[in-house]
Amino acid sequence: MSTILKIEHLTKKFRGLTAVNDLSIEMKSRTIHTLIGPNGSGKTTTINMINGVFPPTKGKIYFDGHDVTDLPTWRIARLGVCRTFQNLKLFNTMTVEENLMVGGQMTYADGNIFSFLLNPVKARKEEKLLEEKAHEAMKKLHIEDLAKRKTGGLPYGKLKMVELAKCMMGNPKLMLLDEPAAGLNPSERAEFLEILLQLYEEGMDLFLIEHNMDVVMRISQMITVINFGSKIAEGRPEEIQNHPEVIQAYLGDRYQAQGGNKRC
Amino acid sequence: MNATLKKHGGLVYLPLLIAAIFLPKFVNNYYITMSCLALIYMIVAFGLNFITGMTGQMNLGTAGIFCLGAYTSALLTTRTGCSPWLAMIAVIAMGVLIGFGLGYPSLRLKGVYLSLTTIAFGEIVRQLANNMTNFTGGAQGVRNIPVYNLFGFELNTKVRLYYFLLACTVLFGFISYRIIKSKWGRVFMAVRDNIDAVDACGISSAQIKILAFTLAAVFGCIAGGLYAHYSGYINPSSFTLGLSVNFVVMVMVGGSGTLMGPILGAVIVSMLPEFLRFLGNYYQITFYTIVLLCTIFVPGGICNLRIFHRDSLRRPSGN
Amino acid sequence: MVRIVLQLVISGIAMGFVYGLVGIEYTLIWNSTGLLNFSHERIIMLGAYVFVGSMITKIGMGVIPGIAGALLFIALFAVLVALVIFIPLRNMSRMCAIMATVMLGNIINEGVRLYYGPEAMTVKGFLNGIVRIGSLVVAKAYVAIIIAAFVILGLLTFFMKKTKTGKAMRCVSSNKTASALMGIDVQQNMVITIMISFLICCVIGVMVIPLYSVNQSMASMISLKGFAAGVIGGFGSLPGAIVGGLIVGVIENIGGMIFPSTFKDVVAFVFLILMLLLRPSGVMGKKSVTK
Repeated sequence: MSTILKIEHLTKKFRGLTAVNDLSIEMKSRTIHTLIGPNGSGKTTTINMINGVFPPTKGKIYFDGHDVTDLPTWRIARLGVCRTFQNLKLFNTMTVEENLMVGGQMTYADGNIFSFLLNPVKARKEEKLLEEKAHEAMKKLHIEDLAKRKTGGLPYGKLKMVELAKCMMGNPKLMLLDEPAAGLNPSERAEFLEILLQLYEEGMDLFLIEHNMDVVMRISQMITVINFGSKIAEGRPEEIQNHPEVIQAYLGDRYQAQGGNKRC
Repeated sequence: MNATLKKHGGLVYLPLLIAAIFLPKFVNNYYITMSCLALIYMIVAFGLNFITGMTGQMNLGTAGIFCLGAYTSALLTTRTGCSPWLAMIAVIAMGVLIGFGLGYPSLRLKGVYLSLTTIAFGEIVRQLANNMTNFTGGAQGVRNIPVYNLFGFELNTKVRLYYFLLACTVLFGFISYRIIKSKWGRVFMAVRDNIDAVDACGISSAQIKILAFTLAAVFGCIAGGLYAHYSGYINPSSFTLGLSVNFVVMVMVGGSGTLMGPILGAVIVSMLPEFLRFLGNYYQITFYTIVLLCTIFVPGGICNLRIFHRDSLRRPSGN
Repeated sequence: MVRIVLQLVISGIAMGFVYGLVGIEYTLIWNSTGLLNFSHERIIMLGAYVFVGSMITKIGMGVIPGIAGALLFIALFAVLVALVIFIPLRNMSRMCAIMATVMLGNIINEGVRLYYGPEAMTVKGFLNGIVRIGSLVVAKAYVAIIIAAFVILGLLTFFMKKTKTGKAMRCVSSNKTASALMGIDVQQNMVITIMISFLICCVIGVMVIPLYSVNQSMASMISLKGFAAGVIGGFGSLPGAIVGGLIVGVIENIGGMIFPSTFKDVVAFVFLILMLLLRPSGVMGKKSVTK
């Protein structure tokens, strides 16, 4: 199995605070890999570095053999890494369809304004293709009825779907999902998980940050646990579930051992 | 019905065009002069619509862009005697240059900082035009700027100029319409809505901003060139911050993100004060008050009012 | 040579205080409502017009009662503007807010033109003459400006640090929601802030009368350079505004010595753009007296 994402000795310091400390993760292709950890342990910082929001203080990031450490976000996205945001980043004055079309632009449209101005026929074809792809994606996520609605007024659960669809439109190899299940009610969550698994079946690799243990244990094949920016454990779900240090970090001391000293 | 509307959305502009074509038959020279000016301003507003209207980057230096376009063309034709058409190439080049020059700061500066930078840019241009007396003619301005010559056909009457400007405006309106309705227009609006998400979609927001600025600057410079040859005389005192503000008003009152917005805006801003002349001394204060009320009560512009909205008609009830 | 430089530096410092006061005046509104007051140029002008046109010429008051009268008028005007324009606007998009304040400025401008007529005015003998300090000659107006600036700064500092309203103002500028939850009447507070800001505008307008005489474009340059002062000092910081103002004042005067003096304004604006690009947070950083 080849490696799709490799993080080596990643460190990020904000002024004095070390958010991520010497973190190394190797993610195999064809896996669903989850990064978990308590609040403030550096998960989102890690994802931000992977997709180039800010550069790491130290360390290297490789995606599919390319060194992406210092590339800007949009170049990394073009290599095939797409991401969803924890606090949704959508284009709220635009319709769902238009949101998705922006998402698919890098894959299905060409970025030269001159060829656009000089060749209306090609431009129209592109537009049509984009529209088709957007509808395909909406169909897959069961949000086709929302195509012409502005994202501004939609309920949260639907917005999560739109965000995922926008990410899908880029046809990525690797999807970075920042807390995909947060804020969803149980039935929405189940639907969302199903879609994620379906995407995985279709050939996308998923790298998740998740809080909801239920979700984590159900879909992950590999879990990395970090606390205070450092890796404390890595392994399959069942290994992680029984890892004493993880239980301590994640659930608190009182879960450490049933008869152990309780610290309040 | 909606699909046909969308497909033939451009048809809305046909009656406007017909009205514009027959306008000189019905009005006197004074109104033709004003319409010429409105057409030139419309081209500037089309450009500004990309950057301020759609991409959301406040540009209060449009008068500077307009001024540079006008001076480039005016000085080239009067000093070197080259044809206004040749000068147009230089004007476009100037536009591209300004686009990059102003676009670059916009990558680092946001909000009010950018507004102030563009104001400073406009002021610098005006002051230079005013003070580099040897080069620009200083406060005296540039006189005797030649008119355009269309295959030996001199555009020397107001009516001929009007039709020439109308043709230019239609051309730029068409280009602008295509950009607004395409992936570019979408990305411009996306940058305004959520700039981080644009980068995450694999599109460089920096390139898009620079593109929008360049388009705005090229449109503005071309309009400046047209203005120089249209009026035959330019001086620095016409390119003030007030003019920049007027351009932004055009885009905002009309409604950003549409083609109709700048058209309406340019017509309103250049015509309305004239129609308010019957108020005597009070016409300007009335005009400003109207604009103020517009910004407070119709912040999205006339074209974005709810009643004109496609999807407000079919918004499902509930949910 | 040294004397000329010193002379320029002193007039630079005096102008710097004017720019700094402009910087403070709009920073107050910015901190409180989040709006950039593009109409401040017209408020400064209005202050001067009310002082000269109404208080001195029409009513025939002396200088001190005249200033008091002008301040009173501007204070009432500020309340009106705050309630009608600034408070409804504060939640709007930035662009609308900018346009609205610009339009307000235009309306004031037109109103002044209609009421006072287009001719420039001046007050005979008001702050005219010079003061000698050693071998240096300083215009009386400059001395007055510097004294006024220190008085305003002193009062403002006292107000912000010692009075309940001033403390509330600092709360509002750092977090409106929290202030409202703590029982501060945010809107009332904004009205007071806007009033203070307009009063400072009025004082600036009166002080610069000997420099520019009273006309409709008297404040256009100082208002723009006031913006520059605020940005260079660090946006949102009150002492920063003064420091920024002094920098702009001195630099443009020195620049006017190196380049032809007509390029004085260009030097100031080029410096503003350079500053924005190289150090957008300003010389004083994000530090702020309001925190």
